[in-house]
Amino acid sequence: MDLGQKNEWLKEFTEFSNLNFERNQIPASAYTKLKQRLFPNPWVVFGKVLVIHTIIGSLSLAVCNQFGLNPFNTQQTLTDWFMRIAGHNFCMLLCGTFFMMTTYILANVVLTLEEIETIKRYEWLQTGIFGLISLAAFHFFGAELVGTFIILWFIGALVGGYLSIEGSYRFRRNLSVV
Amino acid sequence: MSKDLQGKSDEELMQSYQAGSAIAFDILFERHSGRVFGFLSKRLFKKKEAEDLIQEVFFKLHRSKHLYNSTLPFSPWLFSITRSVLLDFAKKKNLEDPTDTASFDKIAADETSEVEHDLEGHVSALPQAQSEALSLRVYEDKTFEEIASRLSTSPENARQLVSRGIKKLKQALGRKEN
Repeated sequence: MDLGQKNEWLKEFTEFSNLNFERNQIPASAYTKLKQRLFPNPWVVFGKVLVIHTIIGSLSLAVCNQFGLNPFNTQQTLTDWFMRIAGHNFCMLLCGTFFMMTTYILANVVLTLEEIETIKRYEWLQTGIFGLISLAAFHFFGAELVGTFIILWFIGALVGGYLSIEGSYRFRRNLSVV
Repeated sequence: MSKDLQGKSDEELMQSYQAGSAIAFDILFERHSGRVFGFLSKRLFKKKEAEDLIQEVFFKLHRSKHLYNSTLPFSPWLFSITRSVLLDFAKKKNLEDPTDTASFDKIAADETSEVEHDLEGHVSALPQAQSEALSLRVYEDKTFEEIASRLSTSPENARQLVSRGIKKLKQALGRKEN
C-alpha cells in the first residue's frame, strides 16, 4: 500500500467510523438469510449426515467387516489385517475408528464449511448417536455383539469421529479463507 | 448469557465468536451492520446490491474469524473486509472503483506532472455536467445521491458522469488507466 492508498483508506475509514446508520434500515430478510447461511439448523445437518452415514457405513463393510458382518462377501478386508497386527481388542477399536471416519471424511466433501461447523458444535453427541444407531443396525442384521468388544468399538468410533471432524473442519477452514 | 455479552467490547465479542458463540455474532451484527450498510449504500445505487453485499461482508467475517487477532481493534478489521468485498464486487461487475475519487487524488498528488498547476483548468475544460459532477464529488465530497439531486439526474447517471470525467481527465493528462 503506497502513501496515496493509505490516505484513501484512512479517509474512508474515518467516514465509515462516523456513519450513524440505524440497524433497522437493513431488511430483516437479509439478516435471516445470513443467519441461515452461517448457522444451519443442526437437525437438518444431522439428517444429511445420517443419510451419508447409512450409505458410506454400508459400503465400508466391503473394506472393513464389523462384528463379522460381511454383506459383500469380500475375502481379505482391513479387519483381517487389524486382527493380525494388533489382536482382537485393538482390532475392534480400529474398526470403530475406521467406520466413523469414513462417514465424516465424505461429509467433508459434500457439506458446506458452516454445516461442518454445526457438526463440530455437537461432535461428541452426534458421533455418540451415530455409534449407537450403527450398533443397533449391526445387531438387527445379525451381528454378534459382545460386551467388551462393543465398548472398545464405541470408544474407537468416538475417537474416529472426533479426529475426522476436527481434521475436516481445520482443513476446510484453511482452504476457504476468502 | 446475552446480557453478559452485551457489555463486552467488540474485541471480547470476537473472542467469544471465535469460540463458537452465535449470540456474540448477533451483538456484533447489531452494533456494526448499520455502519457497514451505510458505507455500502453510499457507494452502490441499488438497495438490493447493498443488501446482498452486507451479507457477503458478514459471511467473509465469519469465514475469516479465526484469523482475527483480538489484541487489535475490531473496527478497522471490519472496515477492511467491507472495503475488499466492495472492491471485489466492483471488479466482478466491471465497474469503476467505487472509491473512485482515489484515482483523482492520485493525479492531484503527483507532483511530477503538470497537473498540479492546472488541475482545475482541466476539470473545467470537461463537458459541463461532468465537470460539475466531478467537482461536487471531489472538492465537496458529496455522495452520488446528492450530486444526482443537485444535477437533477439519477444517482446512476451521476456516477457515470464522475467516472467519465475521471477517464477524460486521465486521457487529457496522457496517463494510462490502471
